[in-house]
Amino acid sequence: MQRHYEDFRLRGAGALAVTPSRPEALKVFLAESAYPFPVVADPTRAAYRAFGLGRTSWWRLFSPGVLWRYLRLMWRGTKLRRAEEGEDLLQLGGDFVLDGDGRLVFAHPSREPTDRPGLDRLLGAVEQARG
Amino acid sequence: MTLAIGARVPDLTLLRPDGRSLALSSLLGRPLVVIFLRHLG
Repeated sequence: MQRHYEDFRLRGAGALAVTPSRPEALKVFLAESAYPFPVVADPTRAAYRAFGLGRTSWWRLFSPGVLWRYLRLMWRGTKLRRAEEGEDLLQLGGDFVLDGDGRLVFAHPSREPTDRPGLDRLLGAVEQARG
Repeated sequence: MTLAIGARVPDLTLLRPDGRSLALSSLLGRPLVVIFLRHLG
């Protein structure tokens, strides 16, 4: 995401990352990993619920397809970190694009842990959000 | 609950790393890509 932020910015869009972690843990993380856009905490996961993001199952988390995609990410240099104490490993993420008035233009709630939309789809949604 | 395309997203309050609140609405006025992470990292 950090790599693609410039693509969004050049199209007049902002970006926000939300994590279910505690602010204290987020602060420690950001001291080691700079992000060019705001990263915020939602420890109660109220925002996750508002965007319809649910949880996966242990069966899906360790399914061959998901493990294979994690292996590919690691092969490409993605570093996986140990979960913070209290983190819900089954929480799913998702990607959304809002227009300037706060209306939902694009929604991709993840169906499994590695399910994310491609950059092209997000950039297309940003263009749509610009009107 | 699932938000419908075209629906206005509720004004949610999130927490900055220092614990201060951040209203989602404060970032609007231009398109916004919102990425929900599964966990830190």
